[in-house]
Amino acid sequence: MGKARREENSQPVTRADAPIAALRPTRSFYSLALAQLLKNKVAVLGGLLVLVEIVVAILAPYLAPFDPVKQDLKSTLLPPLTAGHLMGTDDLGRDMLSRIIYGARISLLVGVAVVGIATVVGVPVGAAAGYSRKLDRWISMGVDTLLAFPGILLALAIVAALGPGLVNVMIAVGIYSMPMYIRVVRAQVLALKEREFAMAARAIGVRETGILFRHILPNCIGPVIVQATINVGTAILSAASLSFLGVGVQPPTPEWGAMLSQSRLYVVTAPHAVTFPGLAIMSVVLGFNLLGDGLRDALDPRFRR
Amino acid sequence: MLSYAVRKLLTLIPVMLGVYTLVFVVMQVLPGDPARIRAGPGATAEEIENIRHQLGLDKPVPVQYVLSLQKAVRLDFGRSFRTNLPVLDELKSRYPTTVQLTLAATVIFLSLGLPLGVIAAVKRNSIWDGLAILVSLLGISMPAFWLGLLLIWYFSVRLGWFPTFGFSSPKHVILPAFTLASYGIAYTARYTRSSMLEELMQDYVITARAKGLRERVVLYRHALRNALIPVVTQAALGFGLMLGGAVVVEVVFTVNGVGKLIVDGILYRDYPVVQAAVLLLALNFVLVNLIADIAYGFIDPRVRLR
Repeated sequence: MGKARREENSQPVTRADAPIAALRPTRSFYSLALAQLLKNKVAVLGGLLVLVEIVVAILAPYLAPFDPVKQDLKSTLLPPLTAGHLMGTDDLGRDMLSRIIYGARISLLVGVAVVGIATVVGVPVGAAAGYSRKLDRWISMGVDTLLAFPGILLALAIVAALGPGLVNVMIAVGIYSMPMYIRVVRAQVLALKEREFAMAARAIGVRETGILFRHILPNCIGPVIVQATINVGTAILSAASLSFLGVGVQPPTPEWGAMLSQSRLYVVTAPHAVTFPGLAIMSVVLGFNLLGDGLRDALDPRFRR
Repeated sequence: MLSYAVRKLLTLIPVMLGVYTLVFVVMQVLPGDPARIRAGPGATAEEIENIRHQLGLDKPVPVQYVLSLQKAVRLDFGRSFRTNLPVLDELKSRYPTTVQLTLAATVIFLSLGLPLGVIAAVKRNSIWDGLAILVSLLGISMPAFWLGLLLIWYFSVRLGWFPTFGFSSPKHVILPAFTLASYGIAYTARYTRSSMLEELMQDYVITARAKGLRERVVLYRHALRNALIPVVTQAALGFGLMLGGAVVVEVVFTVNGVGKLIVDGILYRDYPVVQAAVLLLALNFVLVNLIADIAYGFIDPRVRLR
C-alpha cells in the first residue's frame, strides 16, 4: 500500500528503470538525451516555436509582404485584414506583419549574442571560481554585486552608460546574464573536482589544467546548454523591455519592444498594433522556456525514463 | 540567532561597496559632460568651468570617488540636474509609491500563486494542475509591459472600470499591481507546486497516513508546513525582483515612483538622480534578501548551522 502510494506520488523518476538504459551501451549520453527530449511533447512544442522563429528570421526578405520600414502616411493604423495588410499597419502606415517578421531577426540576434557574451565570459570565470579558492572569494563578491541589482536595473544602468543601440543592448543584457553562468559552472566544478574520476586522473599524474579541461568542463556542458536555452528567452524579454523603455534599440528598426513602445500611444484606437508584437515576444520566449525545461529533464539522468 | 543575523548583515557591506563602485564607474562612462548638462544650453565656457569646480569634477577621479562615497554615506546625493531639487527629496517623495506598488503586487502574487501551486500539487494531473502549469508558463514568458497595455486596453478603455494612469486612489493601484505581480504569480505557483510535490513524497507523509490521520491534516498540517519553508525565501526574493519590475510597470501606467524616476533620469541625463535611485533600489533589494535569509534561518534551524 505504502509502496503503491509512493509510486503514484513520485515524479516520473525511475531509478528502477536505470539498469535498462545501461543495457544499451551502443547509444551515447547525448543520443539518449535527444531521444528523451523528442518523447517530451511540451518540449517538442517549444522546439517548434523556436524553429519557426529561426526559419522566419532567415527567410524574412522572402516572407515579408512589404518593406518593414517603408512609411505610408495615407494608410496609418489600419486594422488587420485591410488593403493586403494581414496584421494591419502602425502609426506611420508600415505593415505590421513585415515588421514582426523582420523583428524575429533582431530578437534572435540579440538572444544569440547575449548568450555568446555571457558564456564566453561566464564559463571560464565560473570554472576559475570553482577551481581556486583564492579567486573564488573575489569572483563570488563580484557576482554578489551584480546580483544586488533587482531585475533589469543592472542592464538599464549599463545601457544608460553605453547609450542606446542594438550592440549596446546586447552588451548590457550579456553582462546582466553572466552571473547565472558563473554560478552554474562554479557549482558544477566544485562538485566534480572531488569526484572519483577526477581523483583517479590526479592519481595517475594528469596535470590540474588537464583535469579541468579534459574531465571536468565537458561535464558542465549539459547544465550550460540548459541555462543558455532558457537565457535566450529571458535575454529577448530583457532586451525588449529596454527598447520599450526607450533606452534600447531605436526606431525605425523593427524591434518588437520598440514597436510596443510606439503603439502604446494608440492603444485606444488601434489595439492590434499593441497585440501582435507582444504575441511575437511571448511565443518566442515561451518556446525557449519550454525547450530549456525539456532539455533539463532530458540531460539530467535522474529524470530519465 | 542574533550572531547569525549580524554575520549576515556584515556581508552586505562589501556588496554595497561593490554596487556603489559599479554605479560610480557607470556614471563615469556616461556620454556627455555633466557640468555642461547641469549648466544648460547656452552657458559660457566660464560658467561651465565654475560648475565643474562646484561639483568637484575638476578633481582626479579617485578623489571624486572617495568624496562622493563620503557624501553618499551621509545621504547627500547633490541636486537634480532637471529640477535643481536635492536628490534625496526627490527620492523621498517617490519611494513610498514604489513600495506601495510592490507591496500590493506581493499580496496579489502570494494570494494567487500559493493556493494555485498547492492545489496543483495536491490534485496532480487535474484541471487545476493544468491551469497552474499554464499560468506559470504564460506568466514567465509574457512581457509585463505588454500585459499592462492589454489590461489598460480592456479594463480601462473598453470596460471603463479602472483609470488608465496615475496612482492616486486604491482603484489606480489594482491594474499596475496585478501587472507587476504576473511574474510572481507564475513563479510562486510553479515553485510551490514542486516544493509541495516533493514533501508529499517524504516518508513522514506515509507515516501520517498510516497512522490514520485525515487526509486534510496530512496535507495541510504536515506537508504544507514543510513545503512553505523554501517558499518563504522565494516570496521575499519575488518582492525584491518586483522592485526591478516596477521600473517597467511604472512607465506603462505613468506612476511617479522611483522606477519612472530612473527611466526619465536616463532620458534627460539627470545623472545624480539615476545614481541615487539605482543605489536605493539595490540597497532595498539586498536588505529584503537578507531578511529572507534570516527568516529562513529562523524557520528552519538546520540552515543556521551552516
